[in-house]
Amino acid sequence: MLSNSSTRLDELTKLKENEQKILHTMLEVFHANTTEGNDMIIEYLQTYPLSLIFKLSEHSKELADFMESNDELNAYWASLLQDLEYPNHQITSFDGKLTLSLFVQLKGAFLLSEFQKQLELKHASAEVFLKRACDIGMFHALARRINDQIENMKAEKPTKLDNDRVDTLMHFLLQDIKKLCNLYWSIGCIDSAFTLFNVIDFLMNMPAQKKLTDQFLKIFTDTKASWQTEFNDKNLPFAITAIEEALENLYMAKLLSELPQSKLITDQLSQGRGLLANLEKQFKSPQEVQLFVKNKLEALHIPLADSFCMNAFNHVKQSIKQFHPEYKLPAELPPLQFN
Amino acid sequence: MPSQEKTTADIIKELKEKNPILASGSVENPLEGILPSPSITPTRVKKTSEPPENPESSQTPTYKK
Repeated sequence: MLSNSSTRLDELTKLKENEQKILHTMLEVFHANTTEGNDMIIEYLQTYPLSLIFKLSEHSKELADFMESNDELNAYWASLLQDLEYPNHQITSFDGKLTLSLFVQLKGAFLLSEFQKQLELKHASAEVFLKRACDIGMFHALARRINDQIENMKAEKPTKLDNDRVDTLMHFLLQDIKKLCNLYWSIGCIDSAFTLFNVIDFLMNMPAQKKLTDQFLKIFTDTKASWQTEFNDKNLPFAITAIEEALENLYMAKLLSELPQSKLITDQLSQGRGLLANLEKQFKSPQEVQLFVKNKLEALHIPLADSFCMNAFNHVKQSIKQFHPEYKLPAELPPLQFN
Repeated sequence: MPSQEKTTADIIKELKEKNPILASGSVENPLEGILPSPSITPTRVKKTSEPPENPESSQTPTYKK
């Protein structure tokens, strides 16, 4: 199946005879390295369909680099991204280690479009397009794959899942979730948080996981005065990891929400509707997330709920201090209200 | 590297001649056939405070517009 799937992507990347000529001549012009020649390339590229631009960039790293760095072309890519209803600015991740240029995002938009088409045709190749779009870091691709992973997880009988399998599933899920949060700031964190709340429900339906979690919670109920765990502790039961991570993501979303780079991404992805854009049916007022969290912690019999939240909040502050020491952080636990 | 006999003008002329897209004029819409961004998130959340009895019966998220 994989070879067939790869072949479909290869087909989409393969240059036709006339396109090979275009590439060859364009490279000749490019290598001549004249202002006139470069201007001509810029002008011509703006007359090509996106599918051809994608192909050319796949075949020539030099051209791809030029397309990524030229200011005039960047303004043009931004206009195309806007037409396709994607963010139209360069994205730099929260930790500063990842950057999505406009051109790379446009390639991601093309891959997502192909993914949707293949999906409608029920072609196995869809997964290849999704994977490439996820590798790039496209929001919709990551959100989709996270969703698929949860659906796949739910398709397995909770009673038959062993810990190794859960370990594998959670590993890949958390990998995507972290990437989504890192690249898309508040709105990535919000999306991830509610995804994780679903995972918690699933994990608590697994007898082995529930037993492990209950044992862990009992230790806190019996012996601890406050809830304290290490940031990114790998030894916690999965359900605890998931609920800690969900809460951390909500607090992270809250703390980052007013920062300009985060607001810009939220506004563009939600078309100005705000952080809870897709959850309007569930949350009709800004205070309802706080209530949702309170109910969730109670339902899961989390002891020391206030302390549990403070622990998650401290992890978030630790993370923000690490990457953005310039941000002023509140000392008090902020209410989880989102507009 | 470009051939020494050719000037940039020659190459550009050649590009115009060889480029069937340009020869037939600009494409009207570079985004023709490209689907727009899907709706923002497939996230779903239940307002119930209890974990579901049967996780397989959970609401299926909507992803596409």
